[in-house]
Amino acid sequence: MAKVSKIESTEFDLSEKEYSYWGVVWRRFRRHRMAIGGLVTLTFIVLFAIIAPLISPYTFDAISLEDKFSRPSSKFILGTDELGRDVLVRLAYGGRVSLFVAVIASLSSLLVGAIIGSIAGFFGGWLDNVLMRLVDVLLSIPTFPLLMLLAMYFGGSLWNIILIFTVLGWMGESRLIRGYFLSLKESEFVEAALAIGASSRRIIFRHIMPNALAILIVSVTLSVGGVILFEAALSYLGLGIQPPTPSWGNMLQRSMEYILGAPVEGGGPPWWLTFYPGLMILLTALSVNFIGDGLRDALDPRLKL
Amino acid sequence: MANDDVLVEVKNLYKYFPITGGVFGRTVAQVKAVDGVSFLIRKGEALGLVGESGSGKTTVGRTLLRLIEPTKGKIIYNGVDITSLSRGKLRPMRKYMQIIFQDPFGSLNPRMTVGEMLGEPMEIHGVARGREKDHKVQELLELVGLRGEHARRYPHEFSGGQRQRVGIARALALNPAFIVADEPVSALDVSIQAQIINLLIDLQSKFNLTFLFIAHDLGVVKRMCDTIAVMYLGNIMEHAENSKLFGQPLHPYTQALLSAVPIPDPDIKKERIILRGDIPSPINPPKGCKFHTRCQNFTAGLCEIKVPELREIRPNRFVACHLV
Repeated sequence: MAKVSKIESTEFDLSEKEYSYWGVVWRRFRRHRMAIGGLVTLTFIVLFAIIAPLISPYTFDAISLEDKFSRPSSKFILGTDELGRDVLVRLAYGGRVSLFVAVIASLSSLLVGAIIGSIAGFFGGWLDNVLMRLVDVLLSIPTFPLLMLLAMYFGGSLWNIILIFTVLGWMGESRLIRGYFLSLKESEFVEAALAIGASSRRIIFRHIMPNALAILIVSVTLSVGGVILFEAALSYLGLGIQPPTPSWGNMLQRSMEYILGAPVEGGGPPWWLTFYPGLMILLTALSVNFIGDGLRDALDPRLKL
Repeated sequence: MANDDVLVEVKNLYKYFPITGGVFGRTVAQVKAVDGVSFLIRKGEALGLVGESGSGKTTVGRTLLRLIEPTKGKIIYNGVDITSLSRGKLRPMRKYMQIIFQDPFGSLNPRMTVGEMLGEPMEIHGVARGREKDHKVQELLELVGLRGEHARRYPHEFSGGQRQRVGIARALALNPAFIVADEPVSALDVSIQAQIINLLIDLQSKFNLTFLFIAHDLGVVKRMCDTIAVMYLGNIMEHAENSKLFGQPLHPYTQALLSAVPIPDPDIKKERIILRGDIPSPINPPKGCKFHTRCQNFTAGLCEIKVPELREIRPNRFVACHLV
């Protein structure tokens, strides 16, 4: 008898316990070990980028020629570059720049993509055709040469780089969102919204967009990794963020000149100039991708808990 | 025909869905989902619309609320022709006419709480906001047999029957006079079906609702509806009062449908009329009487050539058959 009542009480607990949508997502995300690893790593990187320049005795552009090419030591934890600037501080400051560019560019291309995709998918017809052909045209241009051209023409300031990534980055997202809208606008809950007299705007933003949110979040995280790599590649070619402002990419690029033949005290190449920015790019891109993977699984409502 | 107690009148309603093909999206064929349907529903009456899958009954229901635009024909609600109203002018009309969907899973937005869903129509039409709205939501939930605290929950936390109650509550949120119920119980378990039907009957008498009740289950319609219209391939074949239609079906298609209803008594032997083949394609329906390819009373001649009109053979008794 006691046993029976116990079972009843657990059942009662289960039915009364309320899980919010995001609570469920977090519970699922936590099971994804790689994603948690990525989240922890990324948190450290972000904290490092924010805090290190604040507490370091050096600034990112303080030149000290007598200290150039210093090996990592207690004075310069990660060594110095060809102008004797502290690599640790530049790495952190460059992280700020790289992460800022990546996040803002991803978000703004998402915004553009979401607006264009939802209009195309929701209204359909000739509008859809025109917008999607535009996407086709933009996608058919190889991104990297165009990126180089634009960067060369407009110059590699921070906001220019963000603008260029936005202009060239929204097409994939707009297609994704359009697909979502195409299928969701036929769903019965949208029809129900129509039946209660909801406006197109309300249907797009209140009814369909929240359902596409999962895919949006995943796509942003994945594109953050992509933009960091692209920015690094662009900087590596000397077209990205311009010195003296450091970014991980242009730190790598600068080090190229010296990696083989710099006059380093005690001999050997100044490996720290290449290794640390490369490591940061690798770790950031990797952890962002893992987080994206984890989120995709956690947010997919078709996967049952 | 104009009558004070007529709430909804449908005149010669057509809905053809185009099938497009080729590079330029030319219309290569048309699905004749609704092919000239007329009926009227009086205030407080429940009209049952029955027929096989593909007979166009759901399309009729959606077209009535202009969730689908009709190809041709008129829909008159309470004396107002709503077929020609612009979307903006139609919006205030939506207060009076609502729909209950078949699928209790697909018809509720998975990202909105029940409270948000029920409050939304009130916001749109400026019926209530803030506290008053919350209060009305609670009332609605209790009205359909749910509890007030369910307002905070998301659809996935409910069972199928409970979700259908939410769908009914949403349809009632604006105090409509007319409700299209599109197979509201066919996705539910039999035991739940009875509960929902009883709920609908209660609500009908409480609010003097007028229903268009779409179903393929004749038992449900018999319990719920005052008059019944039988559809086949986009046309109404027979339209009569409940007791008359079940007592003495006149159209051969109705007879075949009724003979297929199982009777839970092994001693009663009844003759089943087996219809041959499947329902023909609505893209290319049979000429003449659309039912002639499967009709048990088929006689060569007139049936193949001439489309039978829906005639009023007795007061309020309509049949579309040459042989009646």
